[in-house]
Amino acid sequence: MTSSAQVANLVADLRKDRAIGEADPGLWDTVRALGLPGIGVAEDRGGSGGTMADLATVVLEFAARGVRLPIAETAIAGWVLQNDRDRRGGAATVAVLDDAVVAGGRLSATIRGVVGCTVPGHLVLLVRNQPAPLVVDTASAGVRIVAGVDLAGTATDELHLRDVPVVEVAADAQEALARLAVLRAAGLVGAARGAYHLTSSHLRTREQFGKPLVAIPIVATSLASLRVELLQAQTALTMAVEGAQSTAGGRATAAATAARIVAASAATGIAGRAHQLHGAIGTTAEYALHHLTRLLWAGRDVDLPEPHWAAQLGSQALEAGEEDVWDTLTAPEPDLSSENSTPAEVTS
Amino acid sequence: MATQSPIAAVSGTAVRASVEVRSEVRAFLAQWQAERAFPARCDAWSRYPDLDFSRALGARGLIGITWPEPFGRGASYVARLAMTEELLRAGAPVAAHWIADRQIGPAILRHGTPELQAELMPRIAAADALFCLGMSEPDAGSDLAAVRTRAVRDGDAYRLTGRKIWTTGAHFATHIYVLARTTPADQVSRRHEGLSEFVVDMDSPGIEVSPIVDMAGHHHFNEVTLDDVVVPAGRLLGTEGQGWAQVTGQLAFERGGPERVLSTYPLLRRAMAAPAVAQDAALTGRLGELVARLAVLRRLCFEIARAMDAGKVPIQDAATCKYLGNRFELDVIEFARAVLAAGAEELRAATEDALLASPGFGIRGGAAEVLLSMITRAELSS
Repeated sequence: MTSSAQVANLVADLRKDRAIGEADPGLWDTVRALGLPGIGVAEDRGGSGGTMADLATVVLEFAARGVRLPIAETAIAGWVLQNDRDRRGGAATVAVLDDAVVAGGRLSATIRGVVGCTVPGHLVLLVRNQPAPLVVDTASAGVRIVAGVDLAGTATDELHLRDVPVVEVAADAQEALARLAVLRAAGLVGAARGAYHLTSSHLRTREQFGKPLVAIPIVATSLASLRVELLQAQTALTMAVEGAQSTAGGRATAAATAARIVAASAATGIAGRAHQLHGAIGTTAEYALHHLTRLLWAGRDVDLPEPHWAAQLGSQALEAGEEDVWDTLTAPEPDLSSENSTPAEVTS
Repeated sequence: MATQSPIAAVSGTAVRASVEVRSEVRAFLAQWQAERAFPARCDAWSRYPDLDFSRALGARGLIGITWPEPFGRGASYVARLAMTEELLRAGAPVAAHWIADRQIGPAILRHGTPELQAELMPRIAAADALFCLGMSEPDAGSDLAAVRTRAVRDGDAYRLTGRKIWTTGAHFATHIYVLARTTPADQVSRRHEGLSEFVVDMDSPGIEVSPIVDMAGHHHFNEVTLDDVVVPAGRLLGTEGQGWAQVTGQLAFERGGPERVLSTYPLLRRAMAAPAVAQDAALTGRLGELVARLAVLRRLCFEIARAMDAGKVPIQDAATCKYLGNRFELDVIEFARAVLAAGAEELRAATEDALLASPGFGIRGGAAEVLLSMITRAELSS
């Protein structure tokens, strides 16, 4: 059994007595104790070992059951901080900013949609188009945290930073963003898969006009369209995970961005269709579907809104030119030089 | 392709084979462009045949590369995919030999007699024998089992009578593959039974070809009438009456290839070079979406080729790939139209040419609606 299959079984086991989306207050503690957010970082760097494929599987399998925990955020923060001996291994999360102006080593900013933030702890900031991540001590004076929830019901904070000291981390922010994008795609694919199976099951059991709904040709075709979108997103995710495990930076970024784009597009189609095919029952609080579709809707715009990703890949394609688009960015053969890339070691 | 384990892995052998063939084809194309040149066209695997090009490709051993020796070089389907991708990318004029290379050659290898193979495989590989597909009929399009062309056994031969339509390339083909009924429909318990596959020489007495001009004013389609055409029994493929099961195997070849994705790639290549794309954020974003989908679709074709190399017949995956690929092909044209609208007048001729060819994409080789219902049926029975 592959390690990814093992972690998939582990997640299934953790949720076996729970319905889709059902709350489990102790789950995050359990997940942390098992070291799942540390997957993808070597053990001697504060992680749990294992591969990007394993980590993506964890995120995906939880999402398929309507669960979103701060796994991706914690994992990427840990990845960024793995060479920072003082900060690695502690509570940390990540957030993405469109822009940040650091003056005299201090930052003022409003950061929305932050998940997994703890005090004490560290907040890693990935800023679009800036090469180095920033890190903030959440216990700093000048950090104000306003608790909230997002569209999917996930606990998210709004952070107000006023003149807060920030430090640059010796890591590649763009690579961290790409890895985060892969995990976001995994979350979307998981929720999409969950929505697909729920819908398929519903259509086979719910009867109208004397037969299961799926016997109506146009209903069956609509389900097939849903399946096709899911397959497209799954393939994109596979390529992105491979890209994350390869050393070819441009290709890894493109694959991660492509997965983000395709998964977001699939999320829109799948959420809409799943609701349409369920009829009224799918709109109730009690029925499981909304746990999944709200994850799909929210997941499209997390970190940076959906249009950003297409613009980024388009720019990358234009810069690369057609030959590199063909030979690298969209090549179907995976790059076989699969070493996990790690940021340079620093003394701190 | 499993839905339960989306995180998969690929072998090094498959990748290396792919890379080598790409280089070889690019070298051939570069040489041809230097000496003879061809215009890069959309949908060039189905329109604008160039017999000289096909013969030159054949002379380089690049037709039938998956066929076992002595007919071919025994290359993998992954390697063939790399080859066909490069040809489609370049908009090369491959139409004359495409059908024979893609599906008829393999069909003859699978179901033809050793004599038929010895006779035809070298000729196909040399682009000397050129095939057209006698499948659709006026009353049998998506419903291929409804074909009425009759094949009646007469001693050492069959006599074929019927009408085929939408037969691309019949006007220059040397041979026609014909799907015909050897047992009348009212004598079989299931309507797919009683069909047979034949290889027929186009110069047989009783064959008439009449052109059908398409909406762009081009002649690619034809109607082919067979009037008591004598076909030697050795030109039956496989088992009489088993044609349906045999032809279904062809469908994975026919549907799962990159020509279902890359028909309009030459246009995308040109459109992305227009300055307007970089200058306009919306166009840049649309390009990004297309690049994302292109990556996924090329990978889907790759997975299908890998499955075929593993001896599988991935019919459902091929249908999915074609369904998604055809949508992509159309969206490329719309992107080019948007770039044209932003002032890239140099794209006009290619965009309009592609647009006029576009209705065929989602119709030929499996109409979109039929593909979706196939995908559904496969899902429901799993």
